[in-house]
Amino acid sequence: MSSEINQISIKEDVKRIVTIAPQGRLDTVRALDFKKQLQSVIDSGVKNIVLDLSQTPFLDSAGMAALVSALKQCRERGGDARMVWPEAEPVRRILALTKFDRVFQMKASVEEALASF
Amino acid sequence: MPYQPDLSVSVPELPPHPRSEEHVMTAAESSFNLANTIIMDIPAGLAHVHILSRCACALLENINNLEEREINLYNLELAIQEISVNIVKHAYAQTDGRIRMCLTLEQQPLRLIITLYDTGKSFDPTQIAQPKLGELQEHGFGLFLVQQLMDEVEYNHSPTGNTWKLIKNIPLTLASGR
Repeated sequence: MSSEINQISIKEDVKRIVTIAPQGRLDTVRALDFKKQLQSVIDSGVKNIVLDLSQTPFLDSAGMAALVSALKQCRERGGDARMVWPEAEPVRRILALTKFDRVFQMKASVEEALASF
Repeated sequence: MPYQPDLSVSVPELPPHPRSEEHVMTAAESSFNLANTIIMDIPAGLAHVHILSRCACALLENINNLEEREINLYNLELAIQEISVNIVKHAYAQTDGRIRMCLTLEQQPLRLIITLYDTGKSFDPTQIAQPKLGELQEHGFGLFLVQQLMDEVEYNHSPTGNTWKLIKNIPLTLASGR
């Protein structure tokens, strides 16, 4: 009696996703540093990013430019970015006013954002 | 080294009070305007612009029944920040200069008038394209935000300097008393 062993192919796909969560104001003064940090993450080969703005109490046009720059770079590398809604209602309104909530895929939490890739 | 203000930088004169010629102010109005006008003059640097926006917010914080308090204070702070940063980055292009801000809280109707003066390069607002909303665009949101968040936005330039005038009508809740 011969035994036949089924061949099983096992493949594991791991998608690298980095979450970046500015903890304070994302304004002109801090946008440059934020952009540099984003750049170093992207340069390390990361192409999928979660931009967690839940703890961002203030966002101006320079901060917004840094966020769009990150999204552009991710997409240019074949990846994407998700944005987690800020808790601060005024910042949420600014994102809606500028229709950033249409440019980015907005998520309610980091977990939801990670699961969406 | 202690801070030494650069007194060599010329600061434009404040414009005359808009009511000064055709309207003689009553004692009550005069007192009110004096009590509710703030003039600040700061070095034009990114490290200082928040002082202007915070000061304007502090003025509104005294209004007890300000509608959507958090939203209105935030929008005011953002609008002044955007204009001030624009002055630092573009009018002065990171060179030395000063920004003078005049805040007047008018009563009838209740509104805040913010005037920002600089002596840097002039600016042509017509050359600034409106951002394409919903598209992947990095720049052009600053002035758009100011126009959206303020009730009136004016820019003028003259040989002595540039003037931004922002007006924000102050919405109140139905609750009485200030």
